[in-house]
Amino acid sequence: MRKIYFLLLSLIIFLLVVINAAFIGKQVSTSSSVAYTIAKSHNLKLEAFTTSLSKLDLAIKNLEDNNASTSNLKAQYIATRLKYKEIEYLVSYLDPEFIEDYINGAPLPGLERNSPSLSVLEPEGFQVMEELIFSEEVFHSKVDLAVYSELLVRNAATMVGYQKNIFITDRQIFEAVRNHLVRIFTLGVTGFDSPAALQSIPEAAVSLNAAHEAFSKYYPLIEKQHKALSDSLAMKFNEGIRYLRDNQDFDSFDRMHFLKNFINPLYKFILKAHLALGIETLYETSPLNMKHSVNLYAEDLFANDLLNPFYYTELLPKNYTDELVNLGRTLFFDPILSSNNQRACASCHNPERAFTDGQKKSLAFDHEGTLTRNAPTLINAVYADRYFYDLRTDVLENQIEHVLVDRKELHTSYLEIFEKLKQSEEYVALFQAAFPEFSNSELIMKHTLSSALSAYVVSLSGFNSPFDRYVRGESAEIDPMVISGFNLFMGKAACGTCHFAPVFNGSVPPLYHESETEVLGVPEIAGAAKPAIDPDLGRYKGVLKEEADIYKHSFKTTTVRNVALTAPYMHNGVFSTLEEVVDFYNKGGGIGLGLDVPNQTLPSAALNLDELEVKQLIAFMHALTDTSSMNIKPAKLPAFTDQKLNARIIGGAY
Amino acid sequence: MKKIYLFFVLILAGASTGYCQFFFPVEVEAEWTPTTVVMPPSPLKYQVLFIGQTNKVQTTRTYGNAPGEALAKQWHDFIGFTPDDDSEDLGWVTVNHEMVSANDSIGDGGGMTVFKVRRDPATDTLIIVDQTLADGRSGKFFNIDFVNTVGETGMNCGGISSIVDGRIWTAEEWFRSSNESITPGVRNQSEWTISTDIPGDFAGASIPKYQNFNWMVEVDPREAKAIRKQYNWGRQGFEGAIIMPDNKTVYTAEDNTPGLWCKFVADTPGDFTKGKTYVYKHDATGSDGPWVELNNKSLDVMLNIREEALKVGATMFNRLEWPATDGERIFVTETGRDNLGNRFKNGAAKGGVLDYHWVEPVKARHPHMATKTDDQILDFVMAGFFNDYYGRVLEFDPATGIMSTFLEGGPHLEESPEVGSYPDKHLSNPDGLNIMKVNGQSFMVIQEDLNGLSKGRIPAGYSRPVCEMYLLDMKIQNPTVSDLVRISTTPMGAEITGAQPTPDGKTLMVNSQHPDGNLPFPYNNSLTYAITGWDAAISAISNSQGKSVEVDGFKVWPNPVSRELKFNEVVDVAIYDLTGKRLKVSRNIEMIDVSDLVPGTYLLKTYNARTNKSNSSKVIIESAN
Repeated sequence: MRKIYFLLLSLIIFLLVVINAAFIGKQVSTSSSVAYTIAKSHNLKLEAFTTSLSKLDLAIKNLEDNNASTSNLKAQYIATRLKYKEIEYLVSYLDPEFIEDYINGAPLPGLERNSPSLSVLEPEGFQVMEELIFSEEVFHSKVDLAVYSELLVRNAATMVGYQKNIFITDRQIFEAVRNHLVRIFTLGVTGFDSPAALQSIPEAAVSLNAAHEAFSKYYPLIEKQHKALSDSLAMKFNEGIRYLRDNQDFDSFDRMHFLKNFINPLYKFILKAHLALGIETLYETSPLNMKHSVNLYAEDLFANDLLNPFYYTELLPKNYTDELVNLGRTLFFDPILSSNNQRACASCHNPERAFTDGQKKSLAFDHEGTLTRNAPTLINAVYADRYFYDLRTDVLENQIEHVLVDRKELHTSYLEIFEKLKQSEEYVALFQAAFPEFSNSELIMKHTLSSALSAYVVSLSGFNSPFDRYVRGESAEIDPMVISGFNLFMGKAACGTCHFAPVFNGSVPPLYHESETEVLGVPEIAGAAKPAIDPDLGRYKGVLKEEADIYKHSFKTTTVRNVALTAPYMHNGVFSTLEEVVDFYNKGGGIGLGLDVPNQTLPSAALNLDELEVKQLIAFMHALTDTSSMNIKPAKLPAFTDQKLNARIIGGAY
Repeated sequence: MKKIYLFFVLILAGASTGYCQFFFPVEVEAEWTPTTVVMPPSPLKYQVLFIGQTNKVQTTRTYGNAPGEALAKQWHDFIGFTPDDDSEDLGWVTVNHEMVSANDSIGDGGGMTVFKVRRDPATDTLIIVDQTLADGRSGKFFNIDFVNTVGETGMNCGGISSIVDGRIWTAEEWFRSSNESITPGVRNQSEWTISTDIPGDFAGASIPKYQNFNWMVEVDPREAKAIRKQYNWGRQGFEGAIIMPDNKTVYTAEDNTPGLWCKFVADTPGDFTKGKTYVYKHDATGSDGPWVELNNKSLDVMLNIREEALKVGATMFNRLEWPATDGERIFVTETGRDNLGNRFKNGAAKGGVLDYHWVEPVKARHPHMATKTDDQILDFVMAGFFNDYYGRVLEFDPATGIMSTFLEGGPHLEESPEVGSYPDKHLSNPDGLNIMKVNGQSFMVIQEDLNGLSKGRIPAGYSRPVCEMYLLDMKIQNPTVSDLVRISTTPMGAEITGAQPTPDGKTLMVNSQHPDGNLPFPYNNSLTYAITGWDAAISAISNSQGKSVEVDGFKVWPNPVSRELKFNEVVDVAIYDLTGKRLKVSRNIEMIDVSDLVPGTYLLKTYNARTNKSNSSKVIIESAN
């Protein structure tokens, strides 16, 4: 009897082995693929989210003016958010625009896209509700909350309906989870999407766990290729989740530890697993000539090559040659680009000051006064989808024209420049070297000139500051003040919610497609007894169709990198030291100074940073200096037959 | 025994874990395959005609600056075509610049460029002809002088290219409400004194400068100067208009929510200074059918035509874009808007009404509305509950006065479809529209301009909008999105606008408006280019799209016009280069776009998850030379 039992068991085992073997390496029907399993469980989570939303809706409808009722609402809100956090990694990947517009966008009004006329859209979704639910006067907002809730329920139904049966591939799961690591670090633990409830860390724990739950379905497959890798992945995920669960205090959460020990290793290991399994990549599923903003092969959130500078320009990587950069550099330092042959790009963008000029506002053409704004650094400036403090141009190649024609800057025109450049054989040779495929008649034109300058700006990229090297593990030690400063920057001081890692500028993660501007309420004069807001209207006057009140005094969020070299600060250079800058934010921006700043996007509450914390923040910012290999100036400028032109001074006379 | 049990459990666990989707190896041996699919070169040939900020335009004396030349403005949009019946030349091409910028030589605001083309009989390419104009300017490209004629224009988007005689109007889509709002793109802000031959109280009237924008403006392409702002058609956020074969009737479309559909009828053919202006009101009961006349002799009424039109109960649309006509039927794109909000409600408060073209789209999108009455559906739209993600092409029937849906955008996916039935064609936010006649056959040319990336408007994982151009055979009754033929507009798919056919049906001129940084020069810049070879392309489309190859019932056939390989089953696909390196993977599809592959030989592997069958074949992408 026993024997038969044993034989039967063996037979079953044999069959299972055969079936198993038959599946491995061979095809499997779609219904048994991991992606399909994940999609099915995602569906269940979508349903749970919908159910939880109706509970939240009910809690709002039943809200009464007493503590028990409001606590109940708060608890339900927190619970519903966690249900959202379980689906976030995938829904945000599949339809980021819809999530931003209707589900979990910032609680700030914005402009309708592609609209024939100016059209301001009021914010919708969780975050605007959160601010009301966690305010003192929640009961008074009951009617508004009910409207927001109805909208959210309806929009969530649209999202759930749309994503319910969506065809999901292995590639998408791998990319979604990797994207989500960036999202958790830059938008999650920084408090970006939990503006009032302060649930960022518990929410991050849930959302990382959900991403892991899905991803872990691949472990048996990864194991077959690379056992150690699958073990490391499981370990890092589990430890990271535990770290989030065990350290839920927002202010004291050690973001550096979390980054170095969990986010970065996971970011690297998931890529390794993706490649080890041979799963196709985004590059293979997109048109081959398409440029992507995030480099899939970057191993680290602070890797030198995380962002693809070419995505932000019209340059094609294959045309980015030493000859092109060399031409761009020569033009940059050559005052031939100005009508009086005395001013160059370098006049206001001096490499010794990280390509700024140390002036509040740069000196104008013919010494007649100043420009309207402070000269920004060009290092890492390429990583933006629009340029200038008011975002008035779209690609880097179009930025230059504004400087060329502005009567206060170079005061010239393309045609005038072309006529001059053509007279110099040395310049023609430089253009020929940079554009070998172009005929002589089309050699000097807007495209070639702007490509060369844009290539030079691309070359001014660098993520090799002492801070970066420490994060990447290339150096073992760093001043503990820097670490504390980084933790403040990404946490309590709330800098990282606008100056997004890793460029620490306004390019929004996880895809870094869009540049943001903010209304800070920067004063006209520092330390004035009766401060007044700087009259510059910023983005409001920057671009057609953006003349909306929400953009009055709104300015581009520039990078914090190299800030030790770029004083004075802000669009008008009003603050001469970083201490003053931090003090301004610490007080709550313009409103904190007592100014009337409608639509201030910076939270107006004081940050309550003490003296040590201010010092730590500044120590961190000082550790972001990297101008290595960016200080090369041309040894000489190309010669002209007109001797008067040969008196040009490298970098301009003034 | 315990051990065996554990073993059993382990095996079971192994069996119940999932698997990757069909695995295409990263590298393969470049294996021999018996079948070869040949993708012939596209019969369509591309020729660059006019590049913004690269070609120089001849300018007139402007703001006291001497005549001369300047780099042309950018942001090309509408293209007009004026046939030349008096010479061997084909005619004049006018190009709108949908922008606003101050310019010492061209003039402030937006503008327009004109050039003349001739067809090279040997190669069918277009040659840009040298011209000398009456004002002494000579060259190839000419700035149309607005500054010294009718005043600057702004955001020149659409226009009219009359099918009767090639007269050209440019539409200003730049609704401004104060002089402050036209800085810094327009520097002269002194009062504008109207000088015009249009009867009414226009001539001699003084208006604030900003009110001299937002009109339909006639230009003379032969002499490169503007003729008149059409003050009698009203000040609207015009997108486009058409002139009917009677040379009297003009239909204009407004890009707004609510947007107006208006008509002007001239007293005598060809004289558009005198006539009557109407706004469409589908439920009007007066003697003018579905039209209500507005006083087009009153400057006040024409300046405030939106308010006046709503007051008389105009029918409201959701962003009308380009109208088009083949001489008989009338079409107009209604591009849609994600969030209607209170826009219709506010319009209705002033008197505006909705017509019944909403009934079908709402029923299709919202199953719970299927049993509701038509008026309940209009209430639903009015309340802002209908998110008009994809828009549609409308048809206006002048005989019945009814506006109805000709081609609904989408498909609308309330729920994502089951695996394998995802549509490979999706029409979203149609914008540019024209009718092209090739070999005596009419085709509608539809161009998308996406309002967003969500809701299936672009494939998941794409980061930038991909705007398609589609052709629709006008013989097809009750067309749907599946009848559209996708056209690969460049070897690399730049976004295009302004499609304008030449009368001989050989060439479609298009504009690439927004520079696409993925493309090499000049396709990364605003430019006008010609796509020639439609006579051959149309037969390639209708002759079942190239030679198919079949193995075991699995069929592959190339479409040289859309640059797609099509399959007769839903499959997963991988394409390898000759070294065996995997280049492209696409899953769950019936076609793959290969327009990004340079000419050469590739290996195609397919896998059908339902039948568990794999196939491989060689693909040869033929070079155009």
